[in-house]
Amino acid sequence: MSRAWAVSVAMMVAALPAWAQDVGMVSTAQFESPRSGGIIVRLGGYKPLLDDEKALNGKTPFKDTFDDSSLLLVELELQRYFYQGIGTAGVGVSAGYGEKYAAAKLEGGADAAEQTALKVVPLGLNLFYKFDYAAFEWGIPLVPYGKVGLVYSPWWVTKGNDDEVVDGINASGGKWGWSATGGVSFLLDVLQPRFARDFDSGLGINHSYLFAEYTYADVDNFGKPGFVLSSRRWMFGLALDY
Amino acid sequence: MAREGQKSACGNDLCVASRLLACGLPMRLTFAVLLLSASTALGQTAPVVNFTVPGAAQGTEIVVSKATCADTRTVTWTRTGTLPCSALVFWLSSDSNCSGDPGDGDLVLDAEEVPQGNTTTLSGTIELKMSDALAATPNLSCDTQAANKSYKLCASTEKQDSLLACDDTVSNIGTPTITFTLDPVAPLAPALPTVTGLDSALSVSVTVPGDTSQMKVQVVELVQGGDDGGTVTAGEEKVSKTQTTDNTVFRMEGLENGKLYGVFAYAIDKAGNQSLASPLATGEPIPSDGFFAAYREAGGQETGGCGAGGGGLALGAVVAALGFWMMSRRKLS
Repeated sequence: MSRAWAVSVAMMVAALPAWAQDVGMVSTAQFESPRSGGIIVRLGGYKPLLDDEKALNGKTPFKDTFDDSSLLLVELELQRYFYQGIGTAGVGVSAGYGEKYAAAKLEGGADAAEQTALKVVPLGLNLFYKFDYAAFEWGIPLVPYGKVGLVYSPWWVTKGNDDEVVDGINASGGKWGWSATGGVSFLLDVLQPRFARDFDSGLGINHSYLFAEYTYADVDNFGKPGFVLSSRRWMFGLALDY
Repeated sequence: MAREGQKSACGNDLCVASRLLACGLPMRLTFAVLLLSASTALGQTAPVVNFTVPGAAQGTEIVVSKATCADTRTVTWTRTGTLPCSALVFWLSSDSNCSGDPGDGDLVLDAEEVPQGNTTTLSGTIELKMSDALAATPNLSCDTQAANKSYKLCASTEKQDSLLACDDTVSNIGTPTITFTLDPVAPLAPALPTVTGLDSALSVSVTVPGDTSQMKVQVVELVQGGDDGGTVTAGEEKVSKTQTTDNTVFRMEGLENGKLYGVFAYAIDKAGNQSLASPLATGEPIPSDGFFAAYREAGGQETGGCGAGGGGLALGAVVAALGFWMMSRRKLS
């Protein structure tokens, strides 16, 4: 009897490793490293609503100079999560850069050989919430999210190699404003779950996403006279949770 | 007796050991002798000389012109390894390589020689003069040389082979190869530059002739000359600029809008020889409006500056609070 008992215990012990290897029995969440923040890289067309300034009375210097085309804006955002439960909330800081070149104009309105450029560096501070609960718990790989925040956008205009100076005014400055953003992310982990786990165990990147978002930004010193760097724009990019 | 004879015929420790082994000496003694020989070999390292051209603007090539032919150029060197067989000799080879001993037309730099067995002189500075190098060959001089002439800087000594025997011939131990060249010929004059009027400036595009490392553009005043008053000639220089050939477009600033200027281009080679001037081109700076001028002209009220000071203080406070919060969370975790 005692011999049979010992054999039974030995067989159970021998079977333990095989049971542990059955991934269906263990939640993947148990293998995840802790999440604390995110890194986002995005780009898109940014067309400031400069011609909307009331003092211009319908004149369109931006359109006349830059042919109403957009600046290519590249942004980097760092996020810190302070809530992880039914979704994730946190705070983010971002910085970007965009520029647009065009020919300066001769007195008659023809294009000059000289180049002029508008350059902006939008800086942002935002609060965000993303509903990633469905992605992690129910396997739906789409994560809707929203952000609201403050924007400060340094800008400068160049002609030739230097900042342009007109009537003694140096063409550079900064504009305050606010922005609201809504978007949806696609969780890439579902395409290669094993690779995603390796990414986490090797680099500490919990999840990766591709996303598209729409931003409504009013950047005009809250309605004061001067440049209107407001925009309504789509941006696209890659986000990583770490 | 036979053992002594073998030793004298062989002449080095490793060889002696192998002969002793062949003569049937006890194994333990043979092993000890071999070990001693190996330790001697380990103490010897092959000599290597590393050259450096101070400034390194010209890399491993030093090029002089006729005007600077008699000037002194320096090369620094450092040495590793020992000199058990012969002195370390520095010399300029008129051939394309540094093999063998210095011969006719080569210049031995006696002052730089490092004696055999020296262990203290591990670095130094070599002074090179093209005029001295040319003088090593009869009838050659800075004035008479009409074509390029190059020398290699060599560092030679006799090395040991794997059995610690000295080589019969010298080897070049200098690296990298330093070339010392006299270039008495200036580049060809550049073609007519293309001039475009900018606001208070001219954009000048040049074509680069061969054997050119830098281009120079010179903007000059134009003077009405000649008896008929209709011939325009170049006057005083207004502004000039020199760039490497990587950038063939020059922006010449500080000019007056609406005034016609003359423009010359020059090619300069590594030796500093400047070509003759290109044909005279002309150009006129033209005023233009950038985006901000167009905006202001349209009635825009932007006056620059960093925006509302209050907003800046508010954001600063928020950022400081955020930083404090992040730091405190990191400490907790």
